[in-house]
Amino acid sequence: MKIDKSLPYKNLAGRPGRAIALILLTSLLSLTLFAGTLVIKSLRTGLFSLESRLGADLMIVPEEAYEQSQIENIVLNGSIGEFYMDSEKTAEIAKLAGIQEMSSQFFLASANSGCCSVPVQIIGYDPETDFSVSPWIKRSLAKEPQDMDVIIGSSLNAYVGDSLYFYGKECHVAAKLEKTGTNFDTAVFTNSNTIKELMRSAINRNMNKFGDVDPDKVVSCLMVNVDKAHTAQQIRLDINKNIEGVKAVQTRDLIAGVSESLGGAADLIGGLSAAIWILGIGILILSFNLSVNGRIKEFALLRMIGVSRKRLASIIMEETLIIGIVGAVIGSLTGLFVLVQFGTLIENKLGLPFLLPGTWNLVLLAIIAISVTVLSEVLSAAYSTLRISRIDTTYILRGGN
Amino acid sequence: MSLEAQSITKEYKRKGKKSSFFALKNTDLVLADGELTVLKGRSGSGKSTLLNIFAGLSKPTSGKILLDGTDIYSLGDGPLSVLRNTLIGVIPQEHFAIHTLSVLQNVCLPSVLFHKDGDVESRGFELLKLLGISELAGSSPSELSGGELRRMSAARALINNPRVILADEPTGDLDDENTELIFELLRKKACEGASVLVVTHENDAEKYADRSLKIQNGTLEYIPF
Ligand SMILES: Nc1ncnc2c1ncn2[C@@H]1O[C@H](COP(=O)(O)OP(=O)(O)OP(=O)(O)O)[C@@H](O)[C@H]1O
Ligand SMILES: [Mg+2]
Repeated sequence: MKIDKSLPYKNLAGRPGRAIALILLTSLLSLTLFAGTLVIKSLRTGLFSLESRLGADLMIVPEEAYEQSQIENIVLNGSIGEFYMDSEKTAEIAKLAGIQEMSSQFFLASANSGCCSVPVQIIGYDPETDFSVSPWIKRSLAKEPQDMDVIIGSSLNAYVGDSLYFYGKECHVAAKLEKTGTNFDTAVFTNSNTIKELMRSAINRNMNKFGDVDPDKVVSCLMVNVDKAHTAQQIRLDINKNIEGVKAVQTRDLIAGVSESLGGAADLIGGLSAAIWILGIGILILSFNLSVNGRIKEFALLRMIGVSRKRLASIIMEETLIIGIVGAVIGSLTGLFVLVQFGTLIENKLGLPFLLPGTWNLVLLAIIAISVTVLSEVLSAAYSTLRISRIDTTYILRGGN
Repeated sequence: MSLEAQSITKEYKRKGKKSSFFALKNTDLVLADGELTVLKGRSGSGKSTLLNIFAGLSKPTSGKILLDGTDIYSLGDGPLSVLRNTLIGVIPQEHFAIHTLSVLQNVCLPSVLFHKDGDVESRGFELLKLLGISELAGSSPSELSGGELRRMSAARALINNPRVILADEPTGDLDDENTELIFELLRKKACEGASVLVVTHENDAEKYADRSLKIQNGTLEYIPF
């Protein structure tokens, strides 16, 4: 008969309703902590990832595109579009002081193609001068993309080696990109030669609304980094004042709206989690107190047969720990499952970039959430445990009461 | 070995009243080996108070409980608890049980909780058999009658073969036959060398006793018989 070690388990098993209720409450706390932190963290990582994908101080677009918020829609809202400006502008802007690096990009909206049930955004970049998307693309494709190669976003339904057709041209999938949690996950990247080829084909088929552009004489957007001696603000004002027909946008301003909604979402989630925690801890403290009161005679008996204060406290604490650990693990695992399963759904509902951290970070976060929950559980039980280990046994044993 | 109360006073502060109340006044009492002492007195006279002080469960306001010359209340909670477990067996006035354990597990608890050697379970079962409730060994305490619980308490008090047995109205809810059984068992333990103190209202308790005491308003007096 081994009751010595298992007394806390027996105590729990003997009152299954109480044990289950406490475990559920605990798992709710750890779920809230884990999922809340993870969502906020994923939103932050998503924003960071968006920032680094844009990877430039300034974006320069045609004035009409700016007025129609087209660049914002493409980058932030996942709509697709195309707009062009005279490539002469490149030379004009390059002459301005304070420009450290500059690279052009081309946008083309695809018609339906094999990979995708909906049209996708095709982005052409110049591997020679690019500094914004190349670092990211290089992580998936070590060599330079060849002509008629495409590099596809992680959410697109095609694989390396597949052929995709855009405007009747066969392209070869050279790489699939890492997930970013942003709208770039549904985009297709090519070098400038390839996208010009696709543009020509679109124009030939009368499928481009800029039917009259010459792909060799236009660009869609210029990415600019400013040098140390100037601020992005200065250069933006300079360009907007001196160069006709274009508009410079600071990427920081572009994503300011996103970081604002992200801040709002984070505050909401944080506030909600805090409310659940305050309520939950209150209920825990209360129920530990009630349950200890209900068992006061059992504890007096244990004291009578020779259980010391310390040992009594450790028996009660062990019960608390079992509840805490089981509940916290269940809660965090549930949170993990839900977020991994429904992450994309959450992302769509929130309409914000959302990138789950890597496996190790997830595990670390789960361990932290479990530890914090167990610790809070122990602290919630501390008062009633201390109180019960100091009860005046005679008051109870004397009889009558 | 002997357990000796030296001028024990116990003062209770009663709620709402300024004046305090003395449940025991300057009480001296020696519980010697092999002796069964019967303690009688009216309700509220201080019987349980004295018994709990002997049991190491209630610190007297003044005075000492000496065990072979050492005041047990000068020990820390740890050593005093060990002492309660190994040397003292208490049959409390109220019914106490851990309801998540079986009757036999309750009886064995004072031994099992402290990793005592030997076949505790069969010792526990023997005690239950002796007290006539062995068929209830596997039951839950909540299924037992008052008299059955009382006998379970007695078995639990005796499981560690204590040198001191303190019984607070151990036959309160028992029939004559079982009352006799309990007193015979306590007498036997005294004959084997234990010091036994029995608080009781039974008229013929003296039959089993070496001496009988009466307590009145916190003061002890000896009754010759
Ligand atoms: N914790 C306490 N606080 C205040 N008064 C107490 C306390 N414990 C006991 N008393 C008082 O001390 C007196 C003695 O109590 P005790 O329990 O020793 O009586 P008793 O002789 O065992 O009575 P009974 O035969 O009814 O069990 C009683 O008047 C009781 O009210
Ligand atoms: Mg009493």
